[in-house]
Amino acid sequence: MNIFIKLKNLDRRWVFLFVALSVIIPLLFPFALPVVPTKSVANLHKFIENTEALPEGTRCFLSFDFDPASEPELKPSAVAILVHMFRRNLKPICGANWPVGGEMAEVALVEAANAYMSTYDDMKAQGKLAPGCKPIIERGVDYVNLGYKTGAIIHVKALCNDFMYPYPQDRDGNSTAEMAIFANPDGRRFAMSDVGLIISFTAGTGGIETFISMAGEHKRPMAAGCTSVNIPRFTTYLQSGQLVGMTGGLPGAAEYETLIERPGKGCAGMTPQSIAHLVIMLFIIFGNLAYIAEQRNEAKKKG
Amino acid sequence: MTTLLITTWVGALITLCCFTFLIKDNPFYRFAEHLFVGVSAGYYLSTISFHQVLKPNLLAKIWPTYFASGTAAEATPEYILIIPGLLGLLMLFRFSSNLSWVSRFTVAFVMGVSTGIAVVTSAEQYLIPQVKKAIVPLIVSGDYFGSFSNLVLVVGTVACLFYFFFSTEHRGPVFGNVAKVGIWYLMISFGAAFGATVMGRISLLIGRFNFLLSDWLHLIK
Repeated sequence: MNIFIKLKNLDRRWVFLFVALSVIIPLLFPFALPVVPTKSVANLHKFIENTEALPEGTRCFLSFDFDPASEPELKPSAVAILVHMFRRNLKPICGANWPVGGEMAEVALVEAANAYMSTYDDMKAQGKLAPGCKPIIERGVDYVNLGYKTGAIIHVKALCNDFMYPYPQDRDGNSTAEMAIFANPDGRRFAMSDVGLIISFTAGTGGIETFISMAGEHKRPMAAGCTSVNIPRFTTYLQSGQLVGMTGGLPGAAEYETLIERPGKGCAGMTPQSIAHLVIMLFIIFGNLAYIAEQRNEAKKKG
Repeated sequence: MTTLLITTWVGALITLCCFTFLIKDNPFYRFAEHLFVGVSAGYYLSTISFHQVLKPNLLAKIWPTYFASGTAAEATPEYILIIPGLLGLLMLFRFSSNLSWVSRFTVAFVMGVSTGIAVVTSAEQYLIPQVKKAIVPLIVSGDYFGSFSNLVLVVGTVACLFYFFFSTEHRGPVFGNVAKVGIWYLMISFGAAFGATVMGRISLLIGRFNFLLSDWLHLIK
């Protein structure tokens, strides 16, 4: 029992060291642990695969509502979903409710476009690409990064009527009115009603909830990629059917990467994640045992 | 290539400066903290606020020939946007201790619009769908798990609502016990939230170590 009481007074820096080692060692000497996709991730994958819900060429709006602080959790799922969309010949239109969201979108788009184009021939040979897929995808035609706009709900409300009004230019200052990606066959102005799916990669407030609050107006299917902290909060929207699917944190990204058979940073992070969780669980158990031992000691002293 | 090398080294050193806080507060950590605040403010103000918001959404619409590109440069100027532009300028009065009250007009306008939208959408998109999905049959024929799941949902919703009903003291066989069940549900949800938070923080740590070990030290691919 005394050992537990001694452990209770362990310097917290030892805990930091153990957690750091539990992450570093599996990164240096990787070994694979199975990744089993959960229902919410599988549902999102299934929805993007569904050619009836999202025919080839459908434009999807991806909102990058996070900043570099949440990048390790959200970028892997954003890249995996973008790669999947390119393979399905869907056209991602990226925007942001968070100031540096446009920068986050740019990094993810470049990585996903390179991943798609570098594996085009292999994927084509395996029959894993949609019939209309092209070997080279172009900005403004197959995808676009619109950057950040202020306003949150008001920004989304504006998108419901006309994309060109809040976004006369893309992130790099190019005029959006001439972009092929926004052209409608009947000449109508591009609006949220032309979008097949809305996905928000949400780190906190001002993410998917702004799109949910405007759902009565845009009436489009929605999905979320969220940080682990937000998983319990957003599960209520899955249960109510307001979201078609969700990728939660780094494990969600790993599950999506498994489904599209393209292991990336999500899958690579799952072994250190599991080992670190084990270490933290052990510390919690030892901490509780130490607490019980101390209580007993005090009771003995009093008795 | 040189730029990438410099940015990687700067990123790695700043990361290490932040990690030193785990030992104790020190000048390296403070340097990284202040640098982050300064760079963020400057980047947000110049690159993002001006180039992604003010220029395309205000200046290019009031003076399209000077600030807009493509066909937008030939558009008719929208002088009505001078009004929101002036409202925005009023916010700068916050820097004056005597005239800071002027900025309240803008705050009042934003609050009015936001509240008006939020009141309608909160009821329509948050409250009603959640209440609708909480009304479920307690017995689903042939589906024991479904029945159990629905029972857990209904009991949890009622018990938690009981707990947050403060007009009556949480005592007695009905109020006391149901509120206690509500506390158990809340405890379980806090546990789930804590677990998810730990998972998130570990993911961020993995992200940083990944950067240090692969991009900086090239120890992993």
